[in-house]
Amino acid sequence: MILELLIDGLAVGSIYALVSMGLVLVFQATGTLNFAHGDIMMISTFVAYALLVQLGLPFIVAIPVALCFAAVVAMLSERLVVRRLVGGSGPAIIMGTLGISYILQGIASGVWSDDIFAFPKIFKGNFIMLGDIRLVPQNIGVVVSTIVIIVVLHLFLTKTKIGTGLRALTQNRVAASLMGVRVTRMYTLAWAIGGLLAAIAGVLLAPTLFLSTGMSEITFTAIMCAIIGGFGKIYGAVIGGYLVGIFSSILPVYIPTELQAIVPFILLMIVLFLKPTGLLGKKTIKKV
Amino acid sequence: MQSVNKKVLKNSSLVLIVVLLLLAPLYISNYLLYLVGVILIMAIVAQGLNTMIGWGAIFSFGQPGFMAFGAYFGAIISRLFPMLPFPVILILTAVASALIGFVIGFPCLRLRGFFLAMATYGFSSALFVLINFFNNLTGGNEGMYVAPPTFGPMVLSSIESIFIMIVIIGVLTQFFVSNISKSRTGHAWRSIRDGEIAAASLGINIAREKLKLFTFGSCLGGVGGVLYAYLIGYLQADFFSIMGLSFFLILVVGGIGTVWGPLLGSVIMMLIPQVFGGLFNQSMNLVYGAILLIFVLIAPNGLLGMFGSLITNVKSRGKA
Amino acid sequence: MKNSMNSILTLQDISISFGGIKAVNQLSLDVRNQEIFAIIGPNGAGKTTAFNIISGLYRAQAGSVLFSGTDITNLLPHQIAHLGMGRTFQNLELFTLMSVEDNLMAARHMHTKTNFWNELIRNKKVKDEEEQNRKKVHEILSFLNLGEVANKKVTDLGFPIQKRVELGRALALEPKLLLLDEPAAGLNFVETAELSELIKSIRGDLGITVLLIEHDMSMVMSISDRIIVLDYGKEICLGVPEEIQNDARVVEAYLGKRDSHA
Repeated sequence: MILELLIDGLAVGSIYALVSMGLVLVFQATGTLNFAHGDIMMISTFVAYALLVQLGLPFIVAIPVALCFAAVVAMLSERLVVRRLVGGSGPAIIMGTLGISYILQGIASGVWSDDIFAFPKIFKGNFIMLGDIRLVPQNIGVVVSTIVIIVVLHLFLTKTKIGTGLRALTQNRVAASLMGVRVTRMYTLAWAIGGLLAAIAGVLLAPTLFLSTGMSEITFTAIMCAIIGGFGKIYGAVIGGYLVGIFSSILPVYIPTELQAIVPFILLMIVLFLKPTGLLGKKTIKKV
Repeated sequence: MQSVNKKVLKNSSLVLIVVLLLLAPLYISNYLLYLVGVILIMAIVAQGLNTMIGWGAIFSFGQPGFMAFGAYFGAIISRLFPMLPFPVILILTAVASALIGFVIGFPCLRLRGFFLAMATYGFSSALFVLINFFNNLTGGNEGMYVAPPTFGPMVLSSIESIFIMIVIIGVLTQFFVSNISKSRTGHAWRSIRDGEIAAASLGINIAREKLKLFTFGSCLGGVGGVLYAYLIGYLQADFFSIMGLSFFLILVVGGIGTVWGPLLGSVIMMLIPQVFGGLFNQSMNLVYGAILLIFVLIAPNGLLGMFGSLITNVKSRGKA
Repeated sequence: MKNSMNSILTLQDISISFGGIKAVNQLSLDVRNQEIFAIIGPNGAGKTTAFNIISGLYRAQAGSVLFSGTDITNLLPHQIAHLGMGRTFQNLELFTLMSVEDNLMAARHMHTKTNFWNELIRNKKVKDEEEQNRKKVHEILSFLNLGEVANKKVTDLGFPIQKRVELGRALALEPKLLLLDEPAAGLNFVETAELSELIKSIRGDLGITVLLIEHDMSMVMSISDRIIVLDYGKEICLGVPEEIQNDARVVEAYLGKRDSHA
């Protein structure tokens, strides 16, 4: 029983990890917390739904198109809004991405309504029995895909020239530009990757959770995961995502289900008061 | 001489507006009273957030939570102690909201920026979950009815009496906030917004002033909440959880950090659904998001900021 | 050796290191009442770090700091300010969204005694005290020749004026000791000469002790009573300007290893 819940938790945690990783990548590159991250995920999942169900296209066409759509929306957000606000006041950036969030919400509600839709399963098939443990193919598929994506992202960031440029940027903007990294292009790239990760998470999540405009609320949980892991650390986001996923799946056994929604928040508070910079975070000193 | 005249003009026009508002029940319909009441309540709650964001750079998602807390707290104690007159309930709610603000702020204000924003968001969402969880007290998902305010033997169930109460509290809020903005505390809060290190070097106790500010803002949120409970007479947690963006919109449109921005912003934000509602019924979020973006990108100081800079531009041109 | 009655600030063997690098290494010094005392040294010598320890932004990992008879080693910046220490910053830390007057009014914080409840209703006590503060602020503004820009927003002013506003803000604290971090940086020849006179008159007319970090050698030599030279967080030598100018170790610290700023 607990083991099955643990696997459920790993599946949920994978989604959180993917969404948080995108958030952190964007934050590292442009110093902006993207409150529209979940909305990019939501609307691109709707695009996938439209192509798959409404137009009847196969997965192999629909999913790549939806992912590209997410990347484009993310890049446009960066180009048209965020770039003009970076360096200004903190509240302005928060409100800017909140504005994008609400625009995407409005578009999705207008086109698809606020109803709930069933999203076709990507990983089909019956339960797999492993001893006493019942494994759901969808969960296994989600966990495996997530691990593959984390590995690919890791290789991209460490082994490719563009990836190392991106990492240089996240460590020191000025030095990176001196080293010849095209900073503005990197900003856009970071946002595009963030959008991609969000869309992947969306199509992985939708089959289990149903598809609705409310899906975008995941932004806040994902931010909490990222903070728990130590904001600004990509692998911290992965740890935070899995922690929250596992706790939210197992704890409802011991506490009333209605309270499940506050598990991430409680976890966040506990971590922040034990270590205000998050699990992997480091302290920074402002110079004067 | 001229500035004295200007001050007299300003004060007398303010008095005129307040008198017109207090007499409003005599000449406008109940529906309009309700609408103006909601505008004033939103302005009170937004004023709380305005002081936090605009003066202390404390970005809080907690204001809907504090408003909900005030509403439910007021509603529950007026049900438990029906003999309490409404001024007492109002004061008790204000004190309780301030206390909750203090308790939440004390640990959370160690965090900054996005971290603080998320902690306050967590507070709000946790509160909504708890409201639905303790359904024997709050009615849970079904909601709860609010007993009309009483004053001694009088039952003030008419919208007119509740409206006048809202006007009085609204005027007091503006009065207090404008006083604070000119004072030692106002200077301290704004200096924290502009630079904590420099503020500390001037002997300003950052932690204490921020906590004071957060407590003050939460108190306004709670007071707005109890007035809202009285005005609509019925409560559900969802009323508050969907308000998330409203207060930011009000501030951005009106002008963050200005004394009158929240009021102006509330008026405009209440009019928008009347104007665009028919056109965009499904997609009002699109309209709100677009307004937010337009202001943040083009007029980050809001309407008041825009007028302000227009006036100073004209003035300096006149001098040159 | 030390005359504690006459000294306003005493550092005893303070050290701090960041990531294994000793930014300040067993530094001791003694600033006398009403003296103009300069800290000089090459970039990275630990001058600003020492300032940050004195004003409480950093906590010394060893040693102690005494300010007018009080041990301030473990006090917070705002507590130290209350004891009468004002400072400016190397890269201006002005309140950019506020007017010049409001920047200085904010510095009257600790000289204002009204409480929050009085301020809510803005009674006569609050207004009277505000009037007094405003008078004091305008006194300082005219002392600094800033009377004309009192109502301007800080961001609308040029850099040299902004620097004077920051100096004014520190003076509005009515400090006993004023810490100036590179007050002449970014100023031209004429402005630097004006600043020299200003610092002398801050000491002479206002009776404030001045501790400054400065790279402009001609200014340092002309206004300072005593100078300490730091390198790698350590004292190289300490003395009156003539002694410093003729000390071989100073020349070596500046020319021997790194680019000179003199």
